[in-house]
Amino acid sequence: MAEPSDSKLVEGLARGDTRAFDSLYARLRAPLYAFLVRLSGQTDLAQDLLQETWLRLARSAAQLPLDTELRPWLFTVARNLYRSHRRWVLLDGKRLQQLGWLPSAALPSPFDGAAANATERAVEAALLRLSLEHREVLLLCSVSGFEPAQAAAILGISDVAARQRLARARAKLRESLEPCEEPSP
Amino acid sequence: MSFEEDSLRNLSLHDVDPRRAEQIRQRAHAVLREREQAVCRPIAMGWSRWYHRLIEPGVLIALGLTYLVWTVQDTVALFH
Repeated sequence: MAEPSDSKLVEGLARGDTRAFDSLYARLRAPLYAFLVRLSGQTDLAQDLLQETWLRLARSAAQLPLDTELRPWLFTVARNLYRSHRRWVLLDGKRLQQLGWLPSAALPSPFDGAAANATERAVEAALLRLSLEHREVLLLCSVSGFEPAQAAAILGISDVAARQRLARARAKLRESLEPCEEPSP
Repeated sequence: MSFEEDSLRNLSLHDVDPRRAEQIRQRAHAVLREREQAVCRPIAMGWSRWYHRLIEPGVLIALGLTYLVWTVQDTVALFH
């Protein structure tokens, strides 16, 4: 069965239709959660932010324009919530470790236990070693499948800046992965 | 496609713990239900206001007038 269009879902959510919510939740819960875990490096925090993201959608559904693209909207909210949390942690000096200011090699990726193979584990670890700006653009474009223009809108930067940041992030990731790269046949 | 790009695209997709997922779903449903009730409430309040401000006084006035006309008519008939 074809998935309902975003405008139909927005309309349903504005009326308080729980089926519209369930349809969207089933489709985007896992990608959004994976994005938040990889962005924050913490499963507990990712779960809290995931909950807040979906509650924000439920609360603001009536104010959403009908042409809202829900997937980018949800990723924008999730990313902004993480940024706000990070700022809040920054003000609370006791939580420097959560900010990733300590050598990130000391922080194992939350996906380590579930990673399919050594390469995947290496990629997850390399992602966590990247700066937040590089990590988020890679997660949006290369993992979540957004176009650079969509990622630019989510990140609140220009299209050109997003492409440049993406290129730099890829280069950084490549540098970080070089020791474990498989030799080509 | 480069090795790192390929690796990123093939990362496993992990989902949130099912119990937590259900908890989030229930909370969002509660918010949506609240909204649904808030949408229905003004309509219900509209009907109630309409009844108390128009129908109820209208019926009372009509009954009062009928009684008045009836008593006047009966009084006049009594003296004729």
